[in-house]
Amino acid sequence: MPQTVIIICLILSVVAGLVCAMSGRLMHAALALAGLSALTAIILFLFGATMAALFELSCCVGLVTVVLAVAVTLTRPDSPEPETAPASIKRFSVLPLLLIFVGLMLLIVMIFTGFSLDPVTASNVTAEPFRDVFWGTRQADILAQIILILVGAFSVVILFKESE
Amino acid sequence: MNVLTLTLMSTALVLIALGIFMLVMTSNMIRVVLAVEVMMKAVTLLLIYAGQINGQLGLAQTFIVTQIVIEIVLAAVASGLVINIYRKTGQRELRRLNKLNG
Repeated sequence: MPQTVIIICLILSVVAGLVCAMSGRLMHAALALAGLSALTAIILFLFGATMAALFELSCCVGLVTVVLAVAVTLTRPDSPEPETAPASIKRFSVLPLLLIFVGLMLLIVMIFTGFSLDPVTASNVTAEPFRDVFWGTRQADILAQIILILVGAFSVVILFKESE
Repeated sequence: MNVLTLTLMSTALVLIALGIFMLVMTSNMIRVVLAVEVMMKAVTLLLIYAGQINGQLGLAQTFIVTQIVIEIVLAAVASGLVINIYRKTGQRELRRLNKLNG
């Protein structure tokens, strides 16, 4: 059952990615990205990565979507220029070719190089809990995250500083 | 390679291809940020796959949390840049930004 749900979520992820790439409106694209993040969170949860799923759901679906929606709203031009249909069709005519190319690359890698991937089983549960790894052995990552958050915060403060 | 592995790898590759397509075909700055975010979702899927096949899901989750922090900082700083550029130039198209006025 979880394997079927994961496969359905993966297919829906591709659909959400396509909507994000092809949508004419930026707000729709941002909402499609939020859907993609929510589906990724479900996949993470079904794989047993509950903490990562929680972070993905709260930060990516919530925070990043709000930030992008605010950016779209604040940079909306007064008179939007509607994209003409022929130009839109011409622009996306490359997309099927690109997707076919990716599929062919995957097939070539599988067939000719003998590259085999280990099968994934959704029921695998690691013996090493996230808490022990995160707080015990990856303390440099915590320091890097703190520095990254501070850099981001100071960058935003400097970007929006009123000029004297 | 089972069906789940094949679907996971295909999804990740398609998402990366879509991100590259968005990066190449658009000149809108917000769409560039969206493209990077789409590619980061593919990286998340590949990280969880790596954690599954190695049996180290805790380590994979740690990397995913770090990646999410990078994603948030990137979105915040890039959105701030886009808003500031729009305020100063009235443009959000990269191709029209051809002057480096101070």
